[in-house]
Amino acid sequence: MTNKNNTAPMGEYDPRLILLDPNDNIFGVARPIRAGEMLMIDGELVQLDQQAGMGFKIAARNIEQGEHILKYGAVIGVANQHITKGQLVHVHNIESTYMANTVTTGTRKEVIS
Amino acid sequence: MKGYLRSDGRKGIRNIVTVVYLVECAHHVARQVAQRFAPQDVQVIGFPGCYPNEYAQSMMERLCTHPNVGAVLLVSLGCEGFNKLKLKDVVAETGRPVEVLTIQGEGGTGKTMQKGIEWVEQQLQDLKEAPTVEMDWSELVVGTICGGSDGTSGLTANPAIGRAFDQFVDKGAACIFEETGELIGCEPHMAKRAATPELAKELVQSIEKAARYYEVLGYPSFAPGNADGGLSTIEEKSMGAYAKSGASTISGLIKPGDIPPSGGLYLLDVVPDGEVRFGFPNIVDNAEIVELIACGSHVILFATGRGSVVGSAISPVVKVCANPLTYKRMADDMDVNAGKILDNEASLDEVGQEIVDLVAQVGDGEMTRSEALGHTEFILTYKSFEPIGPACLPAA
Repeated sequence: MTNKNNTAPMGEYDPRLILLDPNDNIFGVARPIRAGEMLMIDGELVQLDQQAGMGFKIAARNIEQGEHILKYGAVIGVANQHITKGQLVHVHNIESTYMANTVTTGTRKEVIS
Repeated sequence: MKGYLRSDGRKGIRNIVTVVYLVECAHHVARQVAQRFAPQDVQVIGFPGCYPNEYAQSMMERLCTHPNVGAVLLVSLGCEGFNKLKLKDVVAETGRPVEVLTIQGEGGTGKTMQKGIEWVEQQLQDLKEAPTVEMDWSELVVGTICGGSDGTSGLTANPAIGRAFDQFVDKGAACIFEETGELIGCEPHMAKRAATPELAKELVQSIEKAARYYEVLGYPSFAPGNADGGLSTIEEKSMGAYAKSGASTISGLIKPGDIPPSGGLYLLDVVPDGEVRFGFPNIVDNAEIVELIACGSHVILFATGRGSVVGSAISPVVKVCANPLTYKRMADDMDVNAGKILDNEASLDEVGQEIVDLVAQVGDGEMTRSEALGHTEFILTYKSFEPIGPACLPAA
């Protein structure tokens, strides 16, 4: 794991977010959040860059390119670019470490918003 | 719970008549016979292919002798490759009423339909008299699947089913989770939960096989709707799906049609063995449900985020809806609203308990939503498997 800079326990965070495991570097989104809204993460106010539907992911801390994405304390992919705390984490900035998806979001009408 | 006692000692929570087409050419006649009896428990299952297939043969044998099945009508065109006489013998050996109607021999559609309807009418009369006996948790087999998954599936419905699975295993039931193609990335976690190191190896190998299979096909088991719902990678989807298995020790690895030898938690390996031959392992959720049922599942727990509506032939499907917005739109199709966890209206344990209580009621004859709406989906396609090795069932 390359999250050695970011191992401090998570402080206060927005109630619309869920931390699934103390080692995670992403939050689950419990209730939809609009682009541009301000979020409290670890005592700091950050702005969400894109709409985050229910069940989407938001960076809990800054994530370096090449760093593993941890959800449920498990690796669910790798960042293919730098991701700033509070940004949406999805198919545009992370990839599978197994098999690339054949689909990307944004081409279909979003039902859940 | 109450069950219908079968000659092999298993008990069924339903007592249905299956009308089985043995090739697509006989499907219409089978459907016409069954439709005459709606909404009674007369259900159509079948295999469409004309070429014989060992997997399809053994699946059909397991399905027609499933404890929820009371009588079996086989409908053949006459020239197809399916070994109908072997299937008939296997069913007859269990003491179930079974009849074969061959359309070419009976003189066509009309005559076969008439004969089929008369036969089914008689069976329904007889099944009405069937006594029930008390059924214990240790006699129950529960399968689980997720479909139409989104980012909420792994937060609510799947872990809630996991809590229910832990309770079922504690009560002595056999629980089956599956879809090794959607457990890619979970193999190190699963290996730690295996009953023996040899089983751990088998579990890891089954996932590696799935990864290779999907690699050849060029697609992971990841649909556009998964990404629209917030899932980003196959391993993220996998980790969410994996939560359905709960936290119990994994007692064994089985393949479609293998019946768990005792209570405990089992992984069902649904990806064919050998070279890639017949296309995608499971083209749709119901193919997996059918395999869980062939392993003896009395009831299926189905977690859905985007909103699947399917049920199944033979065994009732309990729909656990992960997403509270989906639930609002499709409440009529859903048995459990696990999405209320996200609204802070219930905990995972509470929804887990709700699932356990509901399964007990379904075991007592209460209809699930998909049963009430008449869903009896069924699909069976070509596959090939090698038998499981001795390391797969260490306690057996």
